Amino acid sequence: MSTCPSCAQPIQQNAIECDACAVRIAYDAHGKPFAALPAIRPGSVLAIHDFGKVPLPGMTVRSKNWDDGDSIAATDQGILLTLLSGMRWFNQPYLRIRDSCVRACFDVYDNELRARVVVRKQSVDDASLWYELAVTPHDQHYRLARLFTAPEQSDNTNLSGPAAHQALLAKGTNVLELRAQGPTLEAWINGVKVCAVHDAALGIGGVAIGVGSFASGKKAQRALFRWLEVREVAP
Amino acid sequence: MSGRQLSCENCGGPLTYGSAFCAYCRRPLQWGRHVAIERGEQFFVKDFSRDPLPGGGTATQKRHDGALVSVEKENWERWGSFDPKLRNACVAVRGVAFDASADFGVYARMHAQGDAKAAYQLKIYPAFRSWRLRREAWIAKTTHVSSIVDWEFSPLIGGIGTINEVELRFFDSVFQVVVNGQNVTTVVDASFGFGLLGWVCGSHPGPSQVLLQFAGAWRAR
Repeated sequence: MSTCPSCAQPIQQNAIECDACAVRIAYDAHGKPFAALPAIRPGSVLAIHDFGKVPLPGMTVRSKNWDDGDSIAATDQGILLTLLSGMRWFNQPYLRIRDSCVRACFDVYDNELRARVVVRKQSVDDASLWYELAVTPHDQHYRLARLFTAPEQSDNTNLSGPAAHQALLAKGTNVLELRAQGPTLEAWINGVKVCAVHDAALGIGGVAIGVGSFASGKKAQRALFRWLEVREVAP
Repeated sequence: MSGRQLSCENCGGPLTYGSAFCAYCRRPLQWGRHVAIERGEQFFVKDFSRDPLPGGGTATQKRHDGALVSVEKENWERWGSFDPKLRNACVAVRGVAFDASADFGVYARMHAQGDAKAAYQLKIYPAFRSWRLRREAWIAKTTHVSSIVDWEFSPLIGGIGTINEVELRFFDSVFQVVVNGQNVTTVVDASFGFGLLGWVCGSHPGPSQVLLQFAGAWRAR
């Protein structure tokens, strides 16, 4: 008996769909099953945030200094974020959505900063779950993952990566895109599809961008957020 | 409309409830107001007078009529899970609450993010003939919850000492709460989409005992 290429549970011989995770299955020339994932096409624009003109999602100002030393500063090109430690999230407050294509454009200036595009971020009390496409441009690595965070602990399950990909620029401006349609997720970097996976665990939630520092000793890490765009999926 | 119609009529591909088109063949879709999810082929049935109850540990005592689950502390839960992981299914447990503190029910779509878990939980509280559906996320011994439907009376639920069968039927984002074979409500929630099934027994103001007799899972159609 074969196993599902997505959830690794047993499937019937020549099955066209996994009974367990409902992924569509096709077979290669050697009869090996693979997940047949639908292409996700971006559709109409739902929201555009040009950070050269407007605040980051969930913020009311374009410049701010937090007590812990983190700050954002308005520039003509976008909003420059300086992070001393931990993470900063900017949640789009009005879009709880199942299927969407979320693109963010940014420059990362320092080596110990991870930038993220997030879909289906939902809260369960003060815990949160979400999908994210995260990148560390200096080593050209990306990761598509499902994450959980709560005050007491955080954890994750990698869906693709961490892995290096040449589509990600080590220096300069990168555009990250995370597309979600039903249980299919696609990660795109600078217009190149870097992976597609079937994961049905999370079905709906908000849109966000975020950055996290993994520098030791509170060394300032900087990123410039240029814009964020949310689209429907198109037929 | 039945759960069967959550597959595309044109290409047979799985559909997202409420989606404007089939993701595979791109055919436009229209949705009715009502979806009836029915039990199909069985994935498993377990008779706890004969079969072991997964999880529960030493708090479970096997009897001729089922597995007696004791929850020693107040506001506490014991639970166990069943393979396989499923996206669409009907899961039911049949049991008897022996005291005013006891509730019981099912878990659905229990999945992990590393050591953290998240799931839907449906429970009935026979002392008040009430039921509840919520999302849970937990890690170590801390559980976070958000309510979908908080404790609500249903005349379909029997009281203390009577047999109740509580069932959750789910297909994509459509959930149906079924108690003693009758539909209580339909809820649409897309939060979690895949994972294990499970049973749960809980306590409220004091320790509790529940006799679990049976659990089963069927294909949703």
